[in-house]
Amino acid sequence: MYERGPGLYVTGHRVFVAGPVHLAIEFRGEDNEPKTLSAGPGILVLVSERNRKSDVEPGSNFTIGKVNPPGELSVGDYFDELIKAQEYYCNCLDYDLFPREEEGYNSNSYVRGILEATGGSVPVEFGDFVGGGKPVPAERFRPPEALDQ
Amino acid sequence: MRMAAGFAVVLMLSGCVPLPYKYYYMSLAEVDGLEVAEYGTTSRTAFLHKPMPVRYRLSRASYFVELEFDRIRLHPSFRVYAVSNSGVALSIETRVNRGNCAGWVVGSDGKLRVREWNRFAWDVIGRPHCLRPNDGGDDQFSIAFKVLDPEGEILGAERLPFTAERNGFIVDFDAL
Repeated sequence: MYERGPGLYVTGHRVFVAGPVHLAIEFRGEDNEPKTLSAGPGILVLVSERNRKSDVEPGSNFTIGKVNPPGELSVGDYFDELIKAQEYYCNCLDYDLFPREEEGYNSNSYVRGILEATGGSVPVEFGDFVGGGKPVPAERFRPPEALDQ
Repeated sequence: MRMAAGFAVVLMLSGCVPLPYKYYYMSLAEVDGLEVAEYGTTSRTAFLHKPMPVRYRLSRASYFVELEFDRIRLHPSFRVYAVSNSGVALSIETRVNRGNCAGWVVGSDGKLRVREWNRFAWDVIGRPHCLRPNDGGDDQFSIAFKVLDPEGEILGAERLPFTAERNGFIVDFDAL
């Protein structure tokens, strides 16, 4: 559950040991060192982060599902696409611990949103995770000009 | 004891736990033409945190480079871009080395990337092993890049060494 080889995964840990599950995306190359993408609360906004201690620490995140890149992309190339998409994200959407219809998003919304925006698929029922039922909109992971159209 | 247990239960149910970490920033070494253009602080929750350089400007004969600190992210990072002295946006050429704790964010591992800007991040907060530049055999961290004109001609190659400076604490929230 905590042991993983090279690949791309959706992982998670329970906040404060027994709380709800926080999701992250984890890439492992040939060196098997984890590199993660996730999001969390800044000051009232949802901020994307790489390599947070609470995600990369050995034994912290368990495996939830393996990510399948779109088309013919290798997992490494797809991880590059995810990072590119992450850089387009504005770090400006409202943060909400428990997102409802009209309000903000949380880290689980972020993980689902970035995967869907970039065409990755994963055998995970996101709706089972708090906020996973409300993905960050795909256009938030595209160049700003795409937002104007 | 009962209060502590109650607090733990509240944290568990709230789905949000504050985690304080020692904060470090990138202090660029003195380089000819480099100056601090602005001091400031992170916009994250922090304490014992003093103003630090949040904008550097590197001036050269035909261009200047701006390094702009990203105040909202947990790990310290600078957005780097170059402009000619006549005001034309230039490109910078960078190379990602994903094995490092510090490096350019966007680009395929090991390959050069040319674009108008890139972000150099140092994923050090809560990760003390990243305080030492132990990947690639370098004895110090540096932000290295080339500046290219619109035709792709190299105008200059820059290498800006930096050191880790302590600056109080920052709070990350382990949360949903």
